[in-house]
Amino acid sequence: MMEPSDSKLVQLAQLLCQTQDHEIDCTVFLQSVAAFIEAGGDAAAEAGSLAEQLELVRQHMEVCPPCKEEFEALVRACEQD
Amino acid sequence: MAVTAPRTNDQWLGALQSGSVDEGVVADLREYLKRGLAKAFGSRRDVSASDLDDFAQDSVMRVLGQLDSFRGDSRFTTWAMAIAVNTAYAVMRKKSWGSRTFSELGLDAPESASATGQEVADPSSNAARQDIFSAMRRAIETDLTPRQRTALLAELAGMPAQSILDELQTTPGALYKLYHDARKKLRVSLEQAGFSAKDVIEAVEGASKE
Repeated sequence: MMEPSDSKLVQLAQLLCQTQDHEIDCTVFLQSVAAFIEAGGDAAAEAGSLAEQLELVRQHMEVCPPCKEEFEALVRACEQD
Repeated sequence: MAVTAPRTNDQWLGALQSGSVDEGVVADLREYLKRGLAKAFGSRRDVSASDLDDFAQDSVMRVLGQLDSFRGDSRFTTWAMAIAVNTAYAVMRKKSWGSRTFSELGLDAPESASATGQEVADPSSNAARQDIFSAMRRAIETDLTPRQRTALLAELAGMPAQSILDELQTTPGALYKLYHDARKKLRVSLEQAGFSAKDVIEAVEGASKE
């Protein structure tokens, strides 16, 4: 079986340190990231359940590099001309 | 036809919902998404103008199919653009990955027994870090289910999510649960092996600086 290299274990260790008991998955992230961007990427700027949801969006990017990459591309896509 | 004035969310939805689809508005959406995708990916050498056209068209179809899932907590256009970016990346990642399968990666089929347990250590790396890495390798081998282990290692290898889904024949939600449960188990395993989060962070920082 493929054994992870040290560099992959470094990557995994970073993910483990960011892992939370409750996380949203990539489907929920996709449905929520637009609201996160329009809040300026600042969950604390919102109140109540929206703030909680935005914090989950932020945390998801800590453990999901592909979604983080998509967020960064979305920021570029939404830049004003 | 260019979009001259911003539409409200209700105006977009009213024009796009089935039974009353306004083709002119669909064209506006496609052009809007194409402009955004060009800003996101226009500098990439592996993305052509034709690719952007295709991404925009595919994205419009996905957006039209998911209108019911729009929650209204953002502008409709931002939500649609998120779907467009996701659509484009799915295509690009699949193209980049090619047709490599689990077996070509050296991953066990999920139903098979556990691995050989051979460890691959870097002798130049410090001993404390190697202790943690050895504990991680042991935990991956012994504490995860075969499907959790396969999903985790495939993800670490950079296999696109759609490719993993195809191999495991599962749903996106179930796949994420495999990853999440695997990470939680590994975190517990490291703690039980005597490595705190602080130990792991220090080991990782040391490796990152080398």
